[in-house]
Amino acid sequence: MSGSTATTTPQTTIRIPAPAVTALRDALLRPDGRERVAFGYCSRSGNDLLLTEVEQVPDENHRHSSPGSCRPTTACEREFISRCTSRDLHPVFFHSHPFTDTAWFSTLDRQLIDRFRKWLTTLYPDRDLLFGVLGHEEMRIERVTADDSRPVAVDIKGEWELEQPVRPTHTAAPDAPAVDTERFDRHLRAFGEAGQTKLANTHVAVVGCGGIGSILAQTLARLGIGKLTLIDPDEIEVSNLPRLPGCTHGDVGQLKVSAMHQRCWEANPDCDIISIARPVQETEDYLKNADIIVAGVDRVTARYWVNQFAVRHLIPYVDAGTVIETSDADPPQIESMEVYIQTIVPGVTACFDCLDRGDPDQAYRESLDSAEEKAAVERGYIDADIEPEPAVIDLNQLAAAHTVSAVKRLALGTQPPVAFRKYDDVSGDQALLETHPNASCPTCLGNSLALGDSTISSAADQEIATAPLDDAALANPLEQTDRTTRDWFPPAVTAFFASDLAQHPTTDP
Amino acid sequence: MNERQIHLDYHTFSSQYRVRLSEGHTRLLLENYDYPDGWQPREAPLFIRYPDAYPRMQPAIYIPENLHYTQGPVVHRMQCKFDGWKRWCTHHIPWERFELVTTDDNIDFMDVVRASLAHPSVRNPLQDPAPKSFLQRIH
Repeated sequence: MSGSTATTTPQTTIRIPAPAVTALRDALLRPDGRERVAFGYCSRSGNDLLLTEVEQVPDENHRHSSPGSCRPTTACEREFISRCTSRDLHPVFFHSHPFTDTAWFSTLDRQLIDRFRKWLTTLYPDRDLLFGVLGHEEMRIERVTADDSRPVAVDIKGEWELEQPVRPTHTAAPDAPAVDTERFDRHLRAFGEAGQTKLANTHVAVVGCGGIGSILAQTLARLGIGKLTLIDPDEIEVSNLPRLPGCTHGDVGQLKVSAMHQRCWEANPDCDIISIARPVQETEDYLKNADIIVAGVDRVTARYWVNQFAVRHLIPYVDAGTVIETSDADPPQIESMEVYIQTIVPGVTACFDCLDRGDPDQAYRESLDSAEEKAAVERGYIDADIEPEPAVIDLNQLAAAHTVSAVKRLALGTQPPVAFRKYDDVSGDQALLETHPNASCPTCLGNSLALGDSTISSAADQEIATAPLDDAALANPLEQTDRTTRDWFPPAVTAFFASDLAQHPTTDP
Repeated sequence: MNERQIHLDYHTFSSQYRVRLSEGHTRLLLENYDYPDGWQPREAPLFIRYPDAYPRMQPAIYIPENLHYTQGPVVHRMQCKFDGWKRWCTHHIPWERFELVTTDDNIDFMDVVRASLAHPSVRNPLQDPAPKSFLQRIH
């Protein structure tokens, strides 16, 4: 079967950052023209799969490797499967076809896949079993079950980073209706029908529907984005009205997401809109389905969380913010009006934490509950009152415009997005920066990258994750402690832990 | 939050204490934490609350409210919403410089917490001379 023309499929998508594709090429396509094997480790993210880790199989661990066939040793295969199961990951057996540009499985490959199917699908029914083949220009990945073998869609993140493009044989199936050519006539003249269709098949999650997010949401709807998920727990206040286009006094007290839902629908009735009036930390299941996340929020804890989520699930994230600096004079004088836009493609560009953009003091304050905050203020650890930061609609519009530009580039794939943009509306100075993941980043290259839904990293962790909840401990955890500890356990410990406590054996890992 | 990191913490603490981890990975209870001299009793629970963005953000430390310090005033103990517990203020500890707990000889976050528990009248154990010597002593 030739895969020289990409076809679409409604099945599972596997997300792969460009550096992992490069690692595969380096491992599999060498100048000597011999077929080789490499192993890929996948995690799950909802219905999709995430691949960042590629392991080259050394030549000495190949049973044979020739221009026409290859096979690793059985021991090597077994160890790979063992590593996958102990880390709650799913195996991908890659091999190369260095004699061709296209990617397809030969009859010999199919016979081998069938043997693996019989071996592994019975032994490890909870594992996804995947096989991939790489030609010089194409990549094909199939998921093998006990019953059949089907191609999965491949979504390469940060394709622009590849020195030699690799074309997936299958991509995700479009599910949006035909583009409204009358409504989007002027867009079609810019993006073409294929481009406008890509936008219609893109799902963007907008985190925060305040000054920046409200403009973002409406602009994305007008751009023709097919699906929007709007997230914001807050209601509209009078002081918000100067920065919420389309909102009036009649909207005060209404949820921001409800108001924006209405405005977005009016802007594009074909847009599928979901509104969620919750803190973003409670919206994981909605965000997992997004193709791109954009956020215009002022809470640093929310930005930390969205960044970590995006890195974990390999979802591109565009972080937008503004900062207005004023003098202490009365009346204040504006000294700078800055827009910051960071496009994060996990594993490809720097994440929010790679650039150390957070504010630990603000994060600390946001982490306090009301009693703790009161105590911290009384002790002088933090200021009594936080004055709202200055904000104006024209700066928010600039931030939103650059964010939409980044979304458009990510969705259309025609131009690489600007990784970091800083613009000062007072001086007119603009800085455009390339970024790269930081080796010391606690989030990106720590162990959150492509973690997906998995919570364990070793066999020892499986013990924690699967330890049965001890009913006796739930009913009265004090019984689990010795006399000395029990005497000094706070009286409320039972109630405090009862809803959320598992008893675990206290063994060394 | 990164559950893998929390599991690593769990395993590291388990070598020294009886440990309980909540199902939601938000709370880690050290049942028999060994408090420094001056606290009564010396062995009592301590729990760690993990923030949503852990390990990017600093965890919070809580100690039983009926734990007594017999050798002077305590400045780090703050009211909190959890009945029976008080938050041990650690905002002066630069989280970026430390890991929560390690198995090696490097000073970790819990070492500095221990230093502040050993000198609970000192506002910043990283700056005042006595806790510095304490840190040197424990390593």
